Amino acid sequence: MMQRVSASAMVAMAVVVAAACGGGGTTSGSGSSVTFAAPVSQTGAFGQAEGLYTLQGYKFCVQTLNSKGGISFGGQSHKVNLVTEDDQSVAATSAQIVDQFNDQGDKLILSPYGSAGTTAVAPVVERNGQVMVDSNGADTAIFTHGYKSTFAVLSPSSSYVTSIIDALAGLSPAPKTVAIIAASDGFSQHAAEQGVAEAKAKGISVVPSATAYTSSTKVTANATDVSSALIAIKGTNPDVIIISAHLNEAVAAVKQASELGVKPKDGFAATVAPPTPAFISALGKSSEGVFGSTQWVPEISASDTVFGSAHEFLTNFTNTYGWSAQQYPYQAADAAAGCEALALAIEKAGSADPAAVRTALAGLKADTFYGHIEFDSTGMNTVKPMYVIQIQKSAFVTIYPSSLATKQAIWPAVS
Amino acid sequence: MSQFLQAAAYGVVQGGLLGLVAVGFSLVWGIMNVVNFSHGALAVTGAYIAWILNIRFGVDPFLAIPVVAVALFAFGYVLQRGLINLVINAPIFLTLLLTFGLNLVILNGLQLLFTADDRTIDTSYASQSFAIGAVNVPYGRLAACFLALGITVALALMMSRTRLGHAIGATGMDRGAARLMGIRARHIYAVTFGIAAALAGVAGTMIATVGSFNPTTTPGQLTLDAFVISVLGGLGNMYGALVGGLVLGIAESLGGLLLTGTWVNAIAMAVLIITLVIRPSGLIGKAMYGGRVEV
Amino acid sequence: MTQKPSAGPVAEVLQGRSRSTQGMFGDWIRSRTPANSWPVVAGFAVFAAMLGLQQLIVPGTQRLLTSVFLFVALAQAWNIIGGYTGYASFGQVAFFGLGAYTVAVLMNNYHVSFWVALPVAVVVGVLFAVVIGVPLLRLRGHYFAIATLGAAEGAREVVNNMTSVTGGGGGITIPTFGSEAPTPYFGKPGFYLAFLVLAAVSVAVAALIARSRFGYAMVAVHEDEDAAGAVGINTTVVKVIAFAVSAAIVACAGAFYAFQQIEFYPTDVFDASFTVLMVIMVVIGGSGSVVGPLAGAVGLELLSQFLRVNLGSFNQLIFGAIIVLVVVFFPQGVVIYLRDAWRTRQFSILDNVRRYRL
Repeated sequence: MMQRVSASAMVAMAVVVAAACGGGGTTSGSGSSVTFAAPVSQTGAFGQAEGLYTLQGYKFCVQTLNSKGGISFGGQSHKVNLVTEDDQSVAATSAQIVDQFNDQGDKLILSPYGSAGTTAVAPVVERNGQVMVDSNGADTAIFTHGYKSTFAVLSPSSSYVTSIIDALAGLSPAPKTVAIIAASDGFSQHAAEQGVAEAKAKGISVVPSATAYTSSTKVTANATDVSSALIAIKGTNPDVIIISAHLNEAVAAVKQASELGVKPKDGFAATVAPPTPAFISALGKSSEGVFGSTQWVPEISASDTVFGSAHEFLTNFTNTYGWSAQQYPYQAADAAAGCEALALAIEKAGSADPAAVRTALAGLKADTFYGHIEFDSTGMNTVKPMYVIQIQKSAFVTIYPSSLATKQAIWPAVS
Repeated sequence: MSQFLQAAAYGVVQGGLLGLVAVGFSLVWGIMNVVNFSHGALAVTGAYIAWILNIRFGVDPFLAIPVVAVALFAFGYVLQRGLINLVINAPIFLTLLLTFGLNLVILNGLQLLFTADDRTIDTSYASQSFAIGAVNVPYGRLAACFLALGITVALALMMSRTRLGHAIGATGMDRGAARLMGIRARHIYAVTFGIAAALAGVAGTMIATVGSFNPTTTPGQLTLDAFVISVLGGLGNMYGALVGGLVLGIAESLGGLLLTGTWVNAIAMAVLIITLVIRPSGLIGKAMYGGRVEV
Repeated sequence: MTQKPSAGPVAEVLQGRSRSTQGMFGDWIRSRTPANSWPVVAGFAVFAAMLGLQQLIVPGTQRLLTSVFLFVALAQAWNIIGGYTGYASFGQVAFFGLGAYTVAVLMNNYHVSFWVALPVAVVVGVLFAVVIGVPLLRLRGHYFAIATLGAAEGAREVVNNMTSVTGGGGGITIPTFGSEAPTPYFGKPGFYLAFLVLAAVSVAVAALIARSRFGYAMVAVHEDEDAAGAVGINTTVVKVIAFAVSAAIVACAGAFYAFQQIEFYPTDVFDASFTVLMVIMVVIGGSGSVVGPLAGAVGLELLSQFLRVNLGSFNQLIFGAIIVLVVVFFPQGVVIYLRDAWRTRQFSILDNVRRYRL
């Protein structure tokens, strides 16, 4: 009998506790402040890396906005209040957190890191009448469901490998063959698919076959062993090996290629990973010469009233958070741009009401430190290009488009 | 054909390293009937120690091995003596839960200290390979293979020739009788776990040298591999762990070639289940339940 | 003719006598006294309270409580095979994922209504349980745990690789907007209700089983399987049925979860940490009882939420540390510890530790 009473008591107590601690220790926007809510990855796979860069981007943006008086609409200046909660790098948790944000009345949402999290959050945002600016989820699949409340500032997945192919095709002598290793997640597969099409258009042949990235050179997402893909490539002698994946797979590919005697004549290229400080610190000397596609470089001649020019953003951000200007995390720029887009939309709409903000975002045309931000009818930013960097002496050097290149590419990239 | 040979060769050298990962796990399971969910985390701890020694002091990972072994032995001894011994007599899934909780603590501790970034130890020789025809054999993994073999032989000799080894074996067979004979079971259990932790640390060092690791996915993967290999080779069987490792390495490598790379984990699971259903005592082992150390 | 003395339920199990359900229910009603009616009354009271609370609830907690109900159902399901029957399955999440994907595939690819997909999902879960249960339930202890873990991982990998059907690593989405949607989305209150009912049903099933002839058979298998077999209990049938019942509840939970999430990946619904959480909740609450898993599920889910919100990057570490501490200090489970301590007036936690240590 004790256990029945104790159980009922525990349940009752638990409900009271739950009611007290609610869904987070924050208040929703009221009076002269506006709340931006975001699930962020503080633990789990993206914990201290990409999740951290995103969080820092959001914080930097909010800090900068507030230092300039906040967002002004309705004749008043409103400070921005940033609310975050750890999603443990699990997509389902991101969705749950955004749902709980809605319960608290937080309707203005900034995306979590990654396509998986953003894909899970988008339907929740749609249902709840919230509005979300996506800063780090590039998978085009997010935008095929007819959602009207999600807007992405970054270039979609289709640009990640195509920009690499375009950059390579512009080097002389251009490579004749490339091999593409792709991880099994939607983002990496879509990027590879578009890359293969672009290679065909540029007259570069894909080995071992044009569909290999769906079978023999497909690897599990976040794998640290890509030997099966490399063995499939061995013997076809590609000029360049392109890895459409994230950090783990790219690091493993470079290391294991050496073990297996797979030496691409002209070097390696990868999406997402090379333009992050983590790639260089993981591989050390072996990271020299690797190409990477990135969403933002400081050489673009873009500027705005909030952050100044792209260079100024880089300087201020790296000073605030202790990054080196040679190895900057571009995800932070994505995040800051997303947050800025939301702020601009609120000012344009003249209110923080989610429906009004949504309409303002749909028609937004802004030039920012990040480049031109404009959304097509599905919510993607298709007017912003991607850029390609190469790692030279442990620094990110922009090499494509050639109008922005500060130095020559090291070509062939292998020592 | 050359792809097949390459895959087979790579599978063998990968398998040797996997066997090293599993030897300690198998020992602990066989002797103490403890399934150590934190085994992978201990291996990654060893990897981080070797990595720090390399980054800060420029110590070559092979030279760092004795340091890692001693450090992990001490850590393992304390863990067993102070923590795991407290639930040894409880139903089995309590030790599972305890080691699971421990795993979370160690993993997250490492992540807070070092971030979740992938790490690897850069050496000039480990990723180089020599070629036999169209097949490349990497130096680093080959060395790890020989190391694994050497350690297994040493361990087997220790178990069969030394007093400590006899004590461990006796405690594994019948703890009550061993205690009656004057063997201090708490100490022996702690020593066993310490040895297993040291072996895990050495394996982790090797993994850091030839591949890469991170505190979020690597520990789980290693523990899972250790499960499969221990079952394949028979609990508590040293040589069995090595053979099990080789079998798994080759199966995964060839499987990855014939099917796509994403089937590799499914293959490991299939191997596990088939072994358990058909021959639970493993390919080499004889005893089914409880620990009999077979050497 | 002399009347045979009426035997209790244990004797009936041993003698293999069958009773009609009506007869059993009639006996049960007749044997109710105020003292032993407590659990049923309390159960109904809590259920009604949860229903009513839905209107009054502080908004931020509705989603949280839905999560709690999910874990209550999962914990009860695990308890049936792990706690009562003693077969610690580490692969229960396989049924969760299969239930989830069955619903998702049927709704996405074939535009089937959720209410049709739900029973199919349950059937799939039960079938899988029977198929792997028959060979795997021959194993015991750690071996069974590892084998079921392997089965769960294997199921995930297979689903992951069937890209054309399940979307593989790219995930699957249930259409919920516009004319594409086969069933309108339940909305938060709807799911609250759905999971509450699921939790209530699982508690009721667990309670009924525990008191029934079948429940005694399960416990007999747990205590001494060979002896149970020797007195005529068909241990294989008992084990497989327990496994299947557990699988049915978990698959049902997975189906609701899929519809709630709308969009998910194989790693989400085949996440091994679901299994571990189930086990932890049961063990910490107290396995082999009906209330233990309930308390464990509620307590742990709330704790997990609290840590995540308030401790940021330390939350997993602290959670692990708490698991370690609870396992060491309350190995029999918190609820059972409290019950025994109340009864014997011995509250020493250190005694608790001394009981199981080497």
